[in-house]
Amino acid sequence: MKNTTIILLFILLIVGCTPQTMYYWGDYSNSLYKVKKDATPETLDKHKIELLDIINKSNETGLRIPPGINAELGYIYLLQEQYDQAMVYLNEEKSTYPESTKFIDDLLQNLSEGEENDG
Amino acid sequence: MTVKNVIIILSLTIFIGCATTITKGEAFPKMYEEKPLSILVLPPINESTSPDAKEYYSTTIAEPLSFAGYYVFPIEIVNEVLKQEGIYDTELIVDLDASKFKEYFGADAVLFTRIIEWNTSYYVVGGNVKVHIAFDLVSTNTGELLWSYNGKLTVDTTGDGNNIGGAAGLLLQLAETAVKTAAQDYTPLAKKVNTTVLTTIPFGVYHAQHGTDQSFTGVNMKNVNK
Repeated sequence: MKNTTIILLFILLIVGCTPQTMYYWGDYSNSLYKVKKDATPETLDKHKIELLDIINKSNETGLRIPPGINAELGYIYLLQEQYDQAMVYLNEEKSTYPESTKFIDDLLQNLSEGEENDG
Repeated sequence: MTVKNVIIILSLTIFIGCATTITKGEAFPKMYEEKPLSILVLPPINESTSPDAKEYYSTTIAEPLSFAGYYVFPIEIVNEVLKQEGIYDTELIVDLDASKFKEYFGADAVLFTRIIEWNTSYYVVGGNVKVHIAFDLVSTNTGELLWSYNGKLTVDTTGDGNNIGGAAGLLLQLAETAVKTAAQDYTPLAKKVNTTVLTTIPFGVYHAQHGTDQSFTGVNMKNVNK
């Protein structure tokens, strides 16, 4: 029993000391750079896939999704008039980072006003 | 070596060490008082001669700032919102009351970045590529400067002319310089500048060492913006 305790403590120590990766950003900055350099439906589509990939990989590895990633994906869906998808990701940003609540709520407010104007 | 000499050398070392770098806590005490959670990155102020620098630089800053432990408002969306409001040029809003960013975005602090250099220079037989960025983080509660720093990186892109002498070697060197300089991308340099500069910002709430890094040294007073 004593040995087991020592081993457990030792494992805990090692786990505690291992630096944790904070975020998975994938190829975000390069993929966004390509959109800036040459804004085409293709580069934007690749960037969207990159954002989805960051979200999936973060979820798989139990990492918090990096700030702004959910919001940016939601915004792209918003521009593409896929409002249900947009809502999902924008709300996800809010629940992951409560600091973004005001910002996201204002965006959604503008969205609902925009929809009313369209209708 | 006498004891006296050792003491003199030791005190010299301490003196030299203290003269150039100080701790995060000494350099940026207001960061530890205010503990901002969220940072709104404004579009860079571009003082370089490269018109693309502003858009390209924007793609590099969110990631390292998040690793420093801050919530970074989605830069792409913020830029679009500012464009729609007609204030995408930060030069125009630099004197605006910082509390407006609390009011409209809910941000605890705003980050002003200035691209001082994003340039290629050629001299007689050589060339280089330079990136120099200055950062100022301002509180939206008090309007005070919380953290400021700047960093610069130069890459020498001079060709070696394959060590051929004479006019042929010189021509080859000129051609190589031109190719190497043109091929050098700016964003990898900007990323290195960001990483170096952000080692001096006190860690935010999402970083495991938040609130415990006051004694970290390495803040060079020469690089703190006036």
